[in-house]
Amino acid sequence: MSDTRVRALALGLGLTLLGATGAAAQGGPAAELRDAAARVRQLQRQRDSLDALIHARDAQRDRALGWKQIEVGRLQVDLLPAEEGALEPAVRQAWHLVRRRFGRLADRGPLLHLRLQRDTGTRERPTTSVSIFRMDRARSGQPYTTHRVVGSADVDSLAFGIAVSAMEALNATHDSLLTPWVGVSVPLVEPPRLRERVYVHLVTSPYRLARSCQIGDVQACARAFGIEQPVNFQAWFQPAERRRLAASAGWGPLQRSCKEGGYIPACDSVLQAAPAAALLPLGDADSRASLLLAMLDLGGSDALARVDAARGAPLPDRLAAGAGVPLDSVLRRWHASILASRPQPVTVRYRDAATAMFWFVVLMALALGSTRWR
Amino acid sequence: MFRAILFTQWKWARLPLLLGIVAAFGLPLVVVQPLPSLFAEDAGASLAIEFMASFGPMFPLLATLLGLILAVSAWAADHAGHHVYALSLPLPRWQLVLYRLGSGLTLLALPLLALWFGALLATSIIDLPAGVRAYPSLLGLRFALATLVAFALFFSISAGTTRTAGVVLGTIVGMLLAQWALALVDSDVNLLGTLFDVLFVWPGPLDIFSGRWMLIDV
Repeated sequence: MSDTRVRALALGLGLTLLGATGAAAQGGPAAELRDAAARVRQLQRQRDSLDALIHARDAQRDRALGWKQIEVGRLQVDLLPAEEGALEPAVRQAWHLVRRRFGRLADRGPLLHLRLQRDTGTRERPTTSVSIFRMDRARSGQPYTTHRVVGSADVDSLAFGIAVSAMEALNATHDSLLTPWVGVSVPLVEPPRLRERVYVHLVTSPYRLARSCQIGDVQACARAFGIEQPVNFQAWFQPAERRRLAASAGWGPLQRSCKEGGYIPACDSVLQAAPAAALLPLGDADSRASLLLAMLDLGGSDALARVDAARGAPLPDRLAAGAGVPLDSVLRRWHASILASRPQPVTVRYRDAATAMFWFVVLMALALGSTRWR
Repeated sequence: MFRAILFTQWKWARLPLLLGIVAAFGLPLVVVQPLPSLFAEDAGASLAIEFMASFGPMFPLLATLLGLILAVSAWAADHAGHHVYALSLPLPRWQLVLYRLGSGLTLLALPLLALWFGALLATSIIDLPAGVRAYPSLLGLRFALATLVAFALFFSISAGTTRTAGVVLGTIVGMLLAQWALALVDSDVNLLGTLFDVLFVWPGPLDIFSGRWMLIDV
């Protein structure tokens, strides 16, 4: 369906351009503009009638299939009656997952409109298509704008797929969820090994701020995250560090002079011109996501609702509001969780060595005990 | 007698053993090659750690290969000669097995030392940034234990009869086929996963092979 609309739109735009070009070749500018505007209106009418046709055909097909709509929390789900028994438990579980993360924000949020359909076709295992109406991408025509295919038929996998789709839609409609700062959406569950990666990043960072943060200086952590604004590059970073920061902060003659020539005033100019472009020691998406998760751990399921309520407040206040404790406590909690996530150090425990030697002896005894020579 | 058996095992295994020694010495040197350029980049140390982690499985793989080569070569000539030579020796079987074992372990010491020296050399020629540490001796110790277990495993299989080897191989193939059959009927039973857990999770015999194999780490 969407292909038809895209083709119609492309045709319309192409004809508009053609019309405008033709008019430019024949008449005066005012007449050309009038003709072009008339042509655009005509094409819009054609597009609208095509959309109506598509709508009518979709509605006819839907009536023929007999879609049923169920509502679980704020999830409004279209599904085929024959599949209701298999899909409804997954929808209920998905809503539980969404609610656990978004809390009151999900309860008060807009209705999330999904469509679920099983495909039992040629694949070895049946798949389920989860389509969701993304309000941030609303447009005329068929409302389902994001599709996800869940390959596993079990309720847990399907619920997770539905919940992830719903959360994508919720994340997209709430700037309040710090997405612009975090650089990632609020995750449904913690990505595997996230804090372990952040630990490695923290202890191997070449910046003095990161080292101070590592030993528990929460102000240094706030600065390294970019929570404390404005960033005072000259006070917080040594010249070599500013050069490193500027290397990631843009391009042009000044940047070249900084990176290749090592001219520190040029580095400072680069950083002053585009302070937000510099990748701060803990400015990467993983580190920020881990801080967001620490805030969610502290704040519970209503954390995001409180962040939403603090819309317009400075970032440190919003983080503190979400966690329900002062920002320092959030940073301390984050710091403790990261240090606790240190990867298993390279070591040979006595237990492992003893086990290896035990099995060595057992296997050798088996070799000695063989009774035959062939 | 021991010297004679050691010498014959050396003759049988010298070519793959020499290759193993070169590989064991060279592997640490190879894996640290890209590190200086990675350390020079922003956030390069964490990239270097990831790079080391991606190369980690090479060490247990080499340990397995070394154990396999030396264990199989210790018995290959006996199997080929239908144990006539072994039966002609004025020794009980257990004593011959111990001689073979001692010879195998003596030869095995060469690649183990080679890896340890290689790791020491590799970590001494690079400058490590703050927060990153080298673990040449721990890696060498772990490699030695893994190689010993692999050697013992293959040695005990090789020392047995062809039937024993057939039973072991047949069990593995049977489990693969059973897993395939279970997948066909959409069963959630995971035979291979269970087998993996039994073997590789403590106190399984191959526990020493699991975990992080890192020459450079945080």
